[in-house]
Amino acid sequence: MLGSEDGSWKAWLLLLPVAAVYAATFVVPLGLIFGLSLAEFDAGVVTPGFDLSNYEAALTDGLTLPILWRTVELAAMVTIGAAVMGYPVALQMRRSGPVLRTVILALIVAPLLTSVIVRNVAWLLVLGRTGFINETLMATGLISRPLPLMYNNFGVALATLHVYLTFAALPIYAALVSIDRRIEESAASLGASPSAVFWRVTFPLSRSGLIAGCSLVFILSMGLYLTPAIMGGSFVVTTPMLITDLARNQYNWPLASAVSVLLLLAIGLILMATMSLQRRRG
Amino acid sequence: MIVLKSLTKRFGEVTAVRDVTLTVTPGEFVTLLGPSGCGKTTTLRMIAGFTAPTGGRVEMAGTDVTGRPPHRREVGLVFQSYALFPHMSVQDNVGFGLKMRKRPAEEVARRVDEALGLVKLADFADRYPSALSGGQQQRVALARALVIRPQLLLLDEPFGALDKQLRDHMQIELRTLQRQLALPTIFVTHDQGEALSMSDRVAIMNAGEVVQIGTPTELYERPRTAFVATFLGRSNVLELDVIGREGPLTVLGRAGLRLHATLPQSTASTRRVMVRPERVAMRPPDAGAPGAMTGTVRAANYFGQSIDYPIEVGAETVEAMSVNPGAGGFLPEIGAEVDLEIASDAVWPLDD
Ligand SMILES: Nc1ncnc2c1ncn2[C@@H]1O[C@H](COP(=O)(O)OP(=O)(O)OP(=O)(O)O)[C@@H](O)[C@H]1O
Ligand SMILES: [Mg+2]
Repeated sequence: MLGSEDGSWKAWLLLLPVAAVYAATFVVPLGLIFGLSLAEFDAGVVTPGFDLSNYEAALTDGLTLPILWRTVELAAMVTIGAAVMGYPVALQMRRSGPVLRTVILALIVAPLLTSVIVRNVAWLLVLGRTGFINETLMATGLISRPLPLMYNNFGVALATLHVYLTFAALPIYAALVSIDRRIEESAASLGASPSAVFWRVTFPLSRSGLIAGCSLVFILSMGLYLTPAIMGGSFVVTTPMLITDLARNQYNWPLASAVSVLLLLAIGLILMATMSLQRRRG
Repeated sequence: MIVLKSLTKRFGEVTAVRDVTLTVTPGEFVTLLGPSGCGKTTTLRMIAGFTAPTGGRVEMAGTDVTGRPPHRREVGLVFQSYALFPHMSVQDNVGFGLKMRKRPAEEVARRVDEALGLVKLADFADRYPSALSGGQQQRVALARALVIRPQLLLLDEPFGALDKQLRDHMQIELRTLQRQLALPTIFVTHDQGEALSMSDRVAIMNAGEVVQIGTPTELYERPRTAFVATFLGRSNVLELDVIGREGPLTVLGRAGLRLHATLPQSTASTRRVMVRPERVAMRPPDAGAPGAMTGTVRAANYFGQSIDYPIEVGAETVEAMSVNPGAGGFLPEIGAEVDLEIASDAVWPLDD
């Protein structure tokens, strides 16, 4: 195969720098983590080896799996939220003129330009027990006790959604603008009402963008660390937080590595399952 | 019957379509022909309901449909880009309109088969559009529009993306189908040959306005303006002085040019007339025919079936076209002198 297309080896040459960087920062550490996950850990001493006891420990300690599940739950919440809210945003961007489109784009990208700490502190001021929402609702007498808007999945998901919406909306927008409007017009002229045009033509043709956006948001959300640490207090613990704790506070690098591999595996399996389900339907 | 009454569309400062009035009778094939940007597509979009007119009305079967949304207009639409549904098979593409009309499944299947048979694509029902050639895709688009039995078929440069042979073939197929179904049709093109050969009537548009409507013969033989004369076919548009009268004929001329024409009485001292190049006859200069003029051949443009000769007569250049006479026929050399003969019925007065 290699070299069958004229000059294709030159294309590989062009990829060499990025391949080197990836190898140094990604492939090698990943290999190290995989190796470490098979090492032995006893009383703070790591002995290289080939042994599945770390995985066994992770799967049976009654802590790792519930946290992993909670992480998946959180990521799913964020992903569904981002899809449900991002799709209309993308649709509106496509329908708008250049000015409104730029305004919308600026609004959904703005959170990315704000420091994660600043953003989360701002959310504390809005969602906290004495935050803006609860104070207002209490003052108007609509509620008598503050609503639990923080220190739970909801608060964490909302603060995350705020940033990750862009990652869902932009791929959907890209898919939508690549649809030839005349295809939708043909559908309308054939008798499809606006909602039929959307569900039978626009939506199916934008599905690739939706899937790309959802995958992106899901992968990013499975790595949540800072936002749950701030918005969740100690009530929302995600797998990345667990891994950090294992490595930095307990110095148990082998177990931390094993949990990392499990996290990667979970992400891979869920994405693959979604894709195959999608392919069977599409 | 489809009636457009004073249809007008302005986009801000630009008037894309101005005061277009047109009637399409049952079974009639009407072509909108005009240069790029003259408002053909905008007119079609107003008829289909995608663009709201700034003024005027669209009537179908005696009902005003100007405010009716596209999905309730019963209009079949075919674009140059085909615009097939890429995520549906050929039969689902064709069946789409029937499903939208909630027809029972066996009726959908039967009519889809029929429509695919009509466009000779019966064997392609399960393919996806990406696995079809341009001509096949265009036939699917046609079947998809025909299967709903629309009140009106609108085609926007449907064959623009096809090569010449396929285009010729599709023109004949479309016209045959359209006659067979007696389907009123508005066809948009900027290909004048296509317009002349296919249409019952042609509406020539320029800068948003319909400048002349008529049968292909009327437009070709009796254009009202220089624009129509030059846009449809080749023509010599000549600005000549009225010199005098000879019996029923008016004598026109300028420099070495002398023409006899049947003109309505008028006091104008100059007239603008049109002569088609194929009506300019060339003879060897010694023929000495009465009423002949002498000119110099400036070039010879060879097209195979015909040859074009720009001929200088005095200050004017007259284009003459000879059907290729083959060996032994009269084919003047560049730079040679020739006698020109233009019959009085070949001279047509223009309004502008
Ligand atoms: N949505 C629009 N906004 C502003 N101006 C428009 C719009 N659509 C068309 N126009 C203008 O209206 C005029 C007519 O356009 P139209 O597309 O109807 O031309 P056309 O005859 O179909 O040309 P072509 O042969 O190139 O397809 C053009 O000057 C065009 O720029
Ligand atoms: Mg056009």
